[in-house]
Amino acid sequence: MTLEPLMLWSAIVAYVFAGTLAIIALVWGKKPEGWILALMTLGLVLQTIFIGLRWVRIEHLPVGNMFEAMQANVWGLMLAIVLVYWRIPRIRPAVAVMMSVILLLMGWMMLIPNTDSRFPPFYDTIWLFIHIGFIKIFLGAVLAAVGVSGVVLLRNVSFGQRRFARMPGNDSLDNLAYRFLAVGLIFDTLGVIAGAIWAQDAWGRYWSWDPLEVWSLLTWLTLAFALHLRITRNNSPQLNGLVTMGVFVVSFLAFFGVPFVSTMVHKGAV
Amino acid sequence: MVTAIRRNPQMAGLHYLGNLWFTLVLLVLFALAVLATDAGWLLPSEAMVLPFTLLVFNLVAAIVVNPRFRRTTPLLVFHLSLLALILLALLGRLTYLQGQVLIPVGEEFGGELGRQEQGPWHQNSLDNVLFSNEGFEVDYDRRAKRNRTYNKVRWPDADGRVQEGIIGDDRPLLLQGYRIYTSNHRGFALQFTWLPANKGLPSSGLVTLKSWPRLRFEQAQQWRPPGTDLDLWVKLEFDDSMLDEDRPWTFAIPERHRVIVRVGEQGRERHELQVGGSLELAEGELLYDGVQSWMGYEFYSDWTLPWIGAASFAAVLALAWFYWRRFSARPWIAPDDDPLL
Ligand code: HEM
Repeated sequence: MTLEPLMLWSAIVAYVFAGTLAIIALVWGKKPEGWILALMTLGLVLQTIFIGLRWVRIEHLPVGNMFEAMQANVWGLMLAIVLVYWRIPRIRPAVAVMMSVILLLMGWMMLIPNTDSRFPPFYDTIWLFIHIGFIKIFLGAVLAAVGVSGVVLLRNVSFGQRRFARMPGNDSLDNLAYRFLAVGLIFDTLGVIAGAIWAQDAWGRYWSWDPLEVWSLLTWLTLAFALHLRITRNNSPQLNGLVTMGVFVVSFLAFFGVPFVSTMVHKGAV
Repeated sequence: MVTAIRRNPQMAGLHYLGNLWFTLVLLVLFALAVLATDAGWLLPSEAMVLPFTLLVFNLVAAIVVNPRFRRTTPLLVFHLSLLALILLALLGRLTYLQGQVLIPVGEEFGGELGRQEQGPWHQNSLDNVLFSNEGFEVDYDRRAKRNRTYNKVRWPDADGRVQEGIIGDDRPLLLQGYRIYTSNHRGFALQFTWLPANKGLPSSGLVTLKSWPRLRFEQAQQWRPPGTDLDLWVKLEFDDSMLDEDRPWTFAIPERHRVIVRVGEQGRERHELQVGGSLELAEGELLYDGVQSWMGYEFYSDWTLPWIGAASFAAVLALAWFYWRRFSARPWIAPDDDPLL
């Protein structure tokens, strides 16, 4: 095996160990937090090396086909998880929820053929990085909201109540989820704007109703709905948690589902 | 203030219109309209009319009656920017133009587009658009994957001086408010001269073939020489395979090629022509002068672009400002909410 796939596989193994450990730790009530953080960081470093090697080999950022986009999303989400884990230690048990999503996404990633991408001419621009970067931050923020909302929802059963007893109260977690969603809206808006500027440059029109654009608009509207619902009535943290899950489903459908049923990352590109 | 509004029946109507529950309903309606567009049930411009109109009413009413907007400037700026975006999108649809045309190398744009769509208020100034196609360069990787297009164009500037520049896939020529890009289509054209048998004036004709290499197996076209009712079928053929799928390739006029001309009922008569060759027919003589290339162009016009950009930036800056103020006032996890203490 050459170095490049070795790095990717080692990263995946590190993530799988980190995720499994986080879930086991929760079930058995243990706190191997140092290990979890170390494994996640190790995975992130290995995957970053993988991305670097592939970038040098194929001579562009490896985000040009489904496999590459998927692994890049895993990278972005892992970065978000590591940052949250490191910066907000009080909510660390929620990482079990977030890592479950990552494990699912990685399983999905393995089903996609790992081929090298080729960039169409209009990918050679700084907007690629800006657009993708913003969307990654947005997805990371939504995943963090899902993590804490997941805790609120799991607390409805006695297992969850026991296991998450040491975490802040539901109101606090709900407020945290709200903040993550708000950050999500800012970066989703930035991502859509950057995408529109890029599309204007590349195809002469900022909006062409391709499936990914349609779904990113739906995502944006769902976020607006979720935030507006909070100011329209006084909801229980549980209801807010369910709405956050709804935002999660729509945004992950948009950024993971739609590219699968469409032939290119953006159909407007053809 | 709010009680004063409640007591005034006219303001009360405004109060209902600006209700936040209504906003939620409209956000759902907007989403449904987007889905209807995606499913192809409605054109985007049709689907958006109702949600946009209602959102504008709802938002304007809310800004008037809801004191929160006056208390929080960034929130007000954000929503005003959204309002501006809706109105600009509407104006943009009313005044835009989009169209395509193809121009052979060495020729000028003739003031008319091949295909075009435009808003009802578009002020057409295509007649004043002057430029010529001076040739292009484009490389293809293996499997005919295209790289950037470099198209040389010439146009007169405001003082009538000729300017020259390179445009391409994402580098437009800006003339008269139109943004002109090279499109995905480019190909070959066959140049003929027709000498009528009745000693009429000779005329030249350019037969444009379909896009190359995308439609490389469809390089044939029907053509009727001017002043006749003769249906010719002409096809461009190459001696050797011009494009080897396994090797990179550069767009170029084929050096060794021939033209197949079919005449008569169902094209029973078949002739082959080389450059400079001719074909005698009862109606006249057909001279084959050679192959040229042509480039396809996309025209866009939408004056709202910079304003939409400005409104989007204002919206996102105001949003960030609003949340920054709100979140920096209190820590992300309240220290007093610690079950361990
Ligand atoms: C068009 C009708 C709309 C009306 C009448 C409306 C009205 C309002 C009002 C009254 C607030 C009060 C905020 C507060 O109490 O602090 C608000 C907040 C907000 N609105 Fe809207 N809005 C509309 C559309 C939208 C849309 C389309 C978005 C899209 C993202 C949006 C995003 C927001 C956000 C992010 C907040 C802040 C929520 C928070 O407190 O976290 N609004 N809006």
